[in-house]
Amino acid sequence: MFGQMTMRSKRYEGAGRGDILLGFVGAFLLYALWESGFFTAEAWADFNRRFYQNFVKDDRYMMLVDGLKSTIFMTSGATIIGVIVGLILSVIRVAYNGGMHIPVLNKLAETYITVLRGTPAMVQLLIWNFTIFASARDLNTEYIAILAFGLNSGAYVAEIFRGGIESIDPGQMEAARSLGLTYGSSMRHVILPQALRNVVPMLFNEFIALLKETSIAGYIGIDDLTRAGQNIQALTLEHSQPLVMVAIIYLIMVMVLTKLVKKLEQWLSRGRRG
Amino acid sequence: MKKVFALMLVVALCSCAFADGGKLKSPSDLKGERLAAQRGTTGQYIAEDLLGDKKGELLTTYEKYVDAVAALRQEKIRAIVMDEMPAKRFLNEVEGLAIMDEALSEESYAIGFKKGNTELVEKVNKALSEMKADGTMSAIFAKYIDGDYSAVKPSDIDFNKGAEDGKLYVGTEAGFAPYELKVGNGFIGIDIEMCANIAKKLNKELVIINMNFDALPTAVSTGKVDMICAGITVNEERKENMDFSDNYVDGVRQVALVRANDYEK
Amino acid sequence: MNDDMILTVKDLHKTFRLQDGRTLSVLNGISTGIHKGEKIAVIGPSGSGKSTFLRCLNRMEEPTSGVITFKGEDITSPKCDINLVRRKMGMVFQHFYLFPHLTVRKNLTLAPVDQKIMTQDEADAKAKELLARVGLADKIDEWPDRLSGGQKQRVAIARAMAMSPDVLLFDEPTSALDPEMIGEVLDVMKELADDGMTMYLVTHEMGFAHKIADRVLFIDKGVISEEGTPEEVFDHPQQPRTIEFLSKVLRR
Repeated sequence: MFGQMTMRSKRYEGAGRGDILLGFVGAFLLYALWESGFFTAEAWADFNRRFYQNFVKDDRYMMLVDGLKSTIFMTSGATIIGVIVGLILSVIRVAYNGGMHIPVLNKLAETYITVLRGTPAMVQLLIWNFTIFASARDLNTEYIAILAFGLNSGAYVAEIFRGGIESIDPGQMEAARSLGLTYGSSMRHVILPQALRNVVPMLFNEFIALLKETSIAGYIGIDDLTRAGQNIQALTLEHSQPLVMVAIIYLIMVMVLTKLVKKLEQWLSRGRRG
Repeated sequence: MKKVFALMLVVALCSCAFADGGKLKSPSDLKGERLAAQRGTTGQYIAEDLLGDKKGELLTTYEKYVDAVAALRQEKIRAIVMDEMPAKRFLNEVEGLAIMDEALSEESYAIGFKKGNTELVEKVNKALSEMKADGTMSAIFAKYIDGDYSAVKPSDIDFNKGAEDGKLYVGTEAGFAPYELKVGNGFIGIDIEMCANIAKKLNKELVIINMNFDALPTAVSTGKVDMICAGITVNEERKENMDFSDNYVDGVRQVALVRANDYEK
Repeated sequence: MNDDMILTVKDLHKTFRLQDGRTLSVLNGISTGIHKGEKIAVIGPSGSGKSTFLRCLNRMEEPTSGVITFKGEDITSPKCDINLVRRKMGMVFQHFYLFPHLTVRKNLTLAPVDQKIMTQDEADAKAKELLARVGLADKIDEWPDRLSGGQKQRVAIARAMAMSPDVLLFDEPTSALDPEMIGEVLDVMKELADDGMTMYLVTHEMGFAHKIADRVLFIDKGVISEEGTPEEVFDHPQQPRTIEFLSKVLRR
């Protein structure tokens, strides 16, 4: 196990930052190649002219930067809400199966998860914005989006956490309780830290999904990264370049996050080598 | 393998035959053709009328005009039914397009309000008539339609920040030049400048809420915004669901944007 | 039962409700007790209920009926705070159940510190002392997964001792160990026994039980079917079931 881990980590180190840069340059070059008719002088000049129009002129790239900020802001906010809500829901659900019977709470949590997972995030977003917060006009729409995405994500995170908690040997809970720890203390000090470690990869996948999901925020008028690309499209009437650029930025973020999760997994697996 | 090749050949031949199947001459030729429009616009309603029963099969609606134009250039559709002014802008900026001479209809734009919000409608109508009378309106139109507005910056427009009587929330879809456009962090366009002037007359600060066009009616009826101003055409169906101000522009032509090589005058 | 008994059990019943709705009665009326400093070995065939009996003592399993008194308090009463009771009843499990995400030190100090019985410094000192007693002083900052099975079980014993319990419950502490590691764990337990620890020991190690136990309970089908000194039970068993069981176990 120890040897394997080392090997895997080495292989990954080898493919680190260069990978991401290569991905970015490669993706854009491929796109440029195709768009510019394989670099015929004329098409290449046109490609450059449009590139200038889309991103350089009037500092239009700043629209993408601002959109990126908004996307990151929403994703981070929703992530925090998602983890908190997910944690609470999962503990309610697990406690119900594990001795602390509060049927009303459990039923509520169950219903919450069913409803939020059973309806599209897009529909939820529209309902939050146009129905529930219809009259809250001074509220920054981004906060509404954070709430909508966060609560939605919480339902998924709850199930991830629940799986993680249930994957812990029941003997761990017994050992903790046998020392006189309360149910809550045992959860907090013994079960959750182990469960968290087990679910980190899945949790990150959820947040990567969330990052991409925020691209529907344009529907309620938030100029996120995707919408910023569309705004540039509307300015320049150019279809492909802004969208490809937006796609590449998402791609880089996802690659960075994926790399982070690998690092985190390695860090968490310390002291776990047998 | 041979079968696949044969199939591809058949498809290729068919599509050639389809592409060569006569050029478009006038709007009446559009019946039975693949059309596109922006979702929720009158362009969509006109196209639906043209296509009748076949609209489900032949009409594609897009959130954004750029998407529709991309589809047109890729020959996924044969024409886009849209307002003349944004169509003209595409004509100037994008190669290989043409606008049919004959319009599909002529319409008027007005500002939309929540059904029953008579108080605000009256105030806005008063402001509009004053602006028409003192030349403000024609100055705005001149600036955007005859002049070059690429130099207009959002910071040039006075949103009447910190006004005493609160805020005026206006919903729009800022992808409809020259009426509304997002530039950097702000907005420019005929509707934007007009609303800024209205806000000033109401002693309110203008707040622009940008959203998809098809979300605008919901936004105004749920009170998310006070009014919607996005080159909205007045028609009977819409009048049932919301109130309108007086028209602020008439004679807006709905035209068909087509590929130049697919159009024969 | 005598007054100097630290723990008494009266007519203990335990019935499990199975998934399919049927019930399974595991303990069918057990009455016994343990004196301070006494070591009691609990033996019996698998499925006889001996582990369930032990787990009912600190209510890891909820007894279906019966009364358990610990230091004069009825711990089956709803008014009893079982967490306070468990502090004074250490338990050692077959599969150790060390907390893998905590170092050996934290494994030992988590409970006393969390329950505000000791400060971290006091608990650290206690942990050092206990680890020295089980011969693992040098492993204090090690991760559990770096330890052998025998070392893990010794840490688990030290962890149970960290709360200074009045009685230790051993649930087959050597059954999951490789044969060559059983000795080191039994040595530690022997030392505890010699120091006067009160112990309940569910085990298959008949030789060890013979050596350290003051009394042996033979549990079969949820009742104590034979009880006595190790000499009485191991050398001169009276019940046919006991004779049959011992002949099978000792032949191995």
